[in-house]
Amino acid sequence: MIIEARKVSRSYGSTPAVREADLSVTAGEVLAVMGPSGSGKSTLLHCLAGIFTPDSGEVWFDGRRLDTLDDGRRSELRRTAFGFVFQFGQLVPELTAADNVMLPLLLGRTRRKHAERRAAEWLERLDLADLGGRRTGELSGGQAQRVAIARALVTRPRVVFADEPTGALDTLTGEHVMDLLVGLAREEGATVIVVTHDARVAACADREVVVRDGRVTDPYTSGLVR
Amino acid sequence: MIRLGLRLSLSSGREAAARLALIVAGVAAGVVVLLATLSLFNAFQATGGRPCWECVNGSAPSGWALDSTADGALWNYHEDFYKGRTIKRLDAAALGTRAPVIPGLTRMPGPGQYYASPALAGLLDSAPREELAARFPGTRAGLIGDAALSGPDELVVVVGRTPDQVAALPGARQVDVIDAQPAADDSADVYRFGFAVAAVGLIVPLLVLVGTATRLAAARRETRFAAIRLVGATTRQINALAAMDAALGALAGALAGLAIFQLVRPAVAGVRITGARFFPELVAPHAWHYAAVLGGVPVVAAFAALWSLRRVRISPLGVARRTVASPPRAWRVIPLLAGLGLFAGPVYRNGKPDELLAVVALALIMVGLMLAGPWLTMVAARLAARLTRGGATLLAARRLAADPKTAFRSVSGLVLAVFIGTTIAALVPTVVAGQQKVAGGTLNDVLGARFDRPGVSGLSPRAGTELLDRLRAHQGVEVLPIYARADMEKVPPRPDGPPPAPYVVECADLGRFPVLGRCPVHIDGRGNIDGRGNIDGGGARAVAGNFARIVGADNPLTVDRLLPLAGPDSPPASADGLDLAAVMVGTHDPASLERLRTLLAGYTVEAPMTFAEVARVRADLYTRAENIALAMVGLTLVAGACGLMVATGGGLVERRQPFTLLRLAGTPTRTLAAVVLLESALPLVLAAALAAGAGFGVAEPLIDALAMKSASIALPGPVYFASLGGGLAASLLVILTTLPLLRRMTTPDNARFE
Repeated sequence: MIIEARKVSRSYGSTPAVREADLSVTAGEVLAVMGPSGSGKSTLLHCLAGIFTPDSGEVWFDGRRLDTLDDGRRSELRRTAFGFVFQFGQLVPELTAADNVMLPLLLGRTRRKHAERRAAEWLERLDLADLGGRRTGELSGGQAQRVAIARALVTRPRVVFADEPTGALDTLTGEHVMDLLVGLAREEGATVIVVTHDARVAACADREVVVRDGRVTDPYTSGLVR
Repeated sequence: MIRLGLRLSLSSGREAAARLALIVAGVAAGVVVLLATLSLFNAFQATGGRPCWECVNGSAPSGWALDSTADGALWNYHEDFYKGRTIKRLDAAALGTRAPVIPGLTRMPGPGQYYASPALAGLLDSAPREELAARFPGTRAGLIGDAALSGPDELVVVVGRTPDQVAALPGARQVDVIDAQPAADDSADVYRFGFAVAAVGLIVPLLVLVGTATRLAAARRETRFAAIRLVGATTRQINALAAMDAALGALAGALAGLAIFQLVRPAVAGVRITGARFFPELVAPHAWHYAAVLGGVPVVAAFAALWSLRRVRISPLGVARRTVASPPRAWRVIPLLAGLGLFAGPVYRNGKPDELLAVVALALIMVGLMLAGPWLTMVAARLAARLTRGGATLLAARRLAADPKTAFRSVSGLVLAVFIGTTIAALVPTVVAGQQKVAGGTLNDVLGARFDRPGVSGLSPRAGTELLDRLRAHQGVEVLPIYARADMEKVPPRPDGPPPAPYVVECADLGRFPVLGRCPVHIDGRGNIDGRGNIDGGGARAVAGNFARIVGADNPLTVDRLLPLAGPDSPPASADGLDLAAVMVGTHDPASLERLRTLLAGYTVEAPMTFAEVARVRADLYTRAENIALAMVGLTLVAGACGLMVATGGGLVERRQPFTLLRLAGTPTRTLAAVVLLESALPLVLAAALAAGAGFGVAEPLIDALAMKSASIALPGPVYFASLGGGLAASLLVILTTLPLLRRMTTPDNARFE
């Protein structure tokens, strides 16, 4: 198990978002977390990534309790072991595409030359070599998501968390982005947890779970998929 | 991290560049104002700390003429006046080869020569000789150097005389060495007060300005920080980025401010903040002031940025405000009302101000102004939202009502400055008007000259008669000779007895100055016959009284309290054979006045002055202090306007998206412009009106309490209205300058959001 949620609950005020959710993800697995809007799937993802601290329950990452770590240690994990691809708002618009990709490396005190080389490699792999000097506002939605994928993978993370990564893209571009994300993650040996309500995105995954009213269910055993 | 911070601050696209430009402009304006104030204060301090050769006392010139080995010099220093301007005059005679030389001269003038300051030399060349140059015997030998002067406009003359001539002048002293110390000038306290007002008035808006500048577009910046947090930046790294971002903009602003200050420094040197210009080279900040500004402003900005983040929790998913600002409540107006209430009553309960209560009331008002502002802004905004029919007013009013504290913060720096400036501006004209209406203004053109001094009761009867003849030879001149009663010096006044009457005036002369009083009916100066036809008064044609007391009184308001000097109870007296102690000479012709002054100057220690001139000297002092305070109010308004510009511009950058969407939805640009203008103008006008109202609220009871005879409440002068009105107009213009930014930023072509 690379990551595991045990009886995790999280509420917003008096409104429960996640209720005693149990979830285990194995290393290298691509997991799709599905569910309707407001079901609590994004909150669960954020709890697994250490962005949210659950109100109760435990989150384990690679044999370590994640939910009890302080902010500094969690920041370090996000920088070194996790990568993130969100629907939007994840890139720093003041920075160029190349800057955005090397940002986690720079925050981790990697030498600039090395960071620049790594960023260039990843932009190359994502067919963005010519766009490294552009600011994110000058990129199309698909290009911006590819930059986000490059940034998520540049640190060679153990887990990539993706929250509706194709939500703002057209179907064709969305499929292309998902192919890249899953393909490259597999090449790097990274685990991918992708939150989506799009069945085509979920189809790229090795396994699916469904979140409904804050609870995690297996779609096959719960009868959601026949 | 440093490189990342630099990158985020310096090369992050047009929006970041606009933000940086606003910060630089705002901070630069603040730095210019700060450096201008510091340099004027430095010039004031340097001028005040100049060795005062005029203050050298020397010693009584005993036996100098007999001492063949005597060194040093005989000096007679006094002040003269010409058309309301003071002339410093030193009559000096060398007693030996080693006579002391004043700074600014290589040698003292010999008999028959004089040195004049450049300003006086110019005046001597332009004024009729009998009005001015005739006062200084001899020829001009050269100009006095800057070391002897307190400014380029100062009128100074050093006249070379023989020892006999100086010894014959009243008040001559022997000076062996010029051990000059800085002058102990009472007016320095008034000016220091002016600068203190400036400091209080300026510091707040400057801090607000720097704080506003560093918080520009905070919400958008914090969203960026959240994105950086997502990829693993720690809170400490975010704080470092925010501090560096703020400090960098502030440093650029400070450098720009330094450069701009160098350009405007000549103009600053021309400011007559104490009524006269300082030497331009003195009007400069010290090196450590530059260093402190360059080092301090970025530090203040960095702290302001960190302070602004204290209520913000930047998580990897976005920004959360730790506390939701509650709307201001009505209690905020209580301290202001309490302070004004104290001033209206209890502070002056016994006719005299209760100092402790006055300080408490003043503190309550100043704190109350800052507290009441947001509440009043909210009330005014809600009222406007309810009453308006226009979309722009509705949008502006709703936004102001939603966050009145932030809206008022951008103008809060003005409040204290306007309050202090208004209080002073309301007080000073009234006091000055009171000074100039002494004795109903009837003495304004009357010269007063005293000839008595310690040990000398005045001019001898023969010299006195000779002088009076010369005075009366001028046409249209009224003369009141005041004689000293020789017997009074030997009889000390009894505490429980009648007031002392050491002087005598003839009733016929007194009749020409009725405001001073009237002789009793039985001493009418004509027939020594009382109202019942009895001969009385022992042949007297004169009365005794303290007539010379008003001659040379330096506070005209005290003159009013002393009048009348003669009345039904005044004792009879005789002026026969008495020394002439003083004289009052009236004329309505300005040229005659100067000729009379020139004539009298040869007999007096203190320069003869008219009552209007005495009032003007004091009024000038008050007015200069007022002008300093008002100049600072003006500068404060400029600093406040810059803060407002920065805040308005920042607000635009912050709200680019909603404004663009409004424009996309068909809202005309002029409506959006009106929204921006109203959002800034409403708190600005409200703050100024509130502060000015409070200023008048403090000044009015004080004027009543002073109960100055003949002092009517006067409106603040044009400098006040120019400072306040000009400052407000400039502020509104400054806001208008941000409107093109609005038009550009909301162009539908740019309507794309990441």
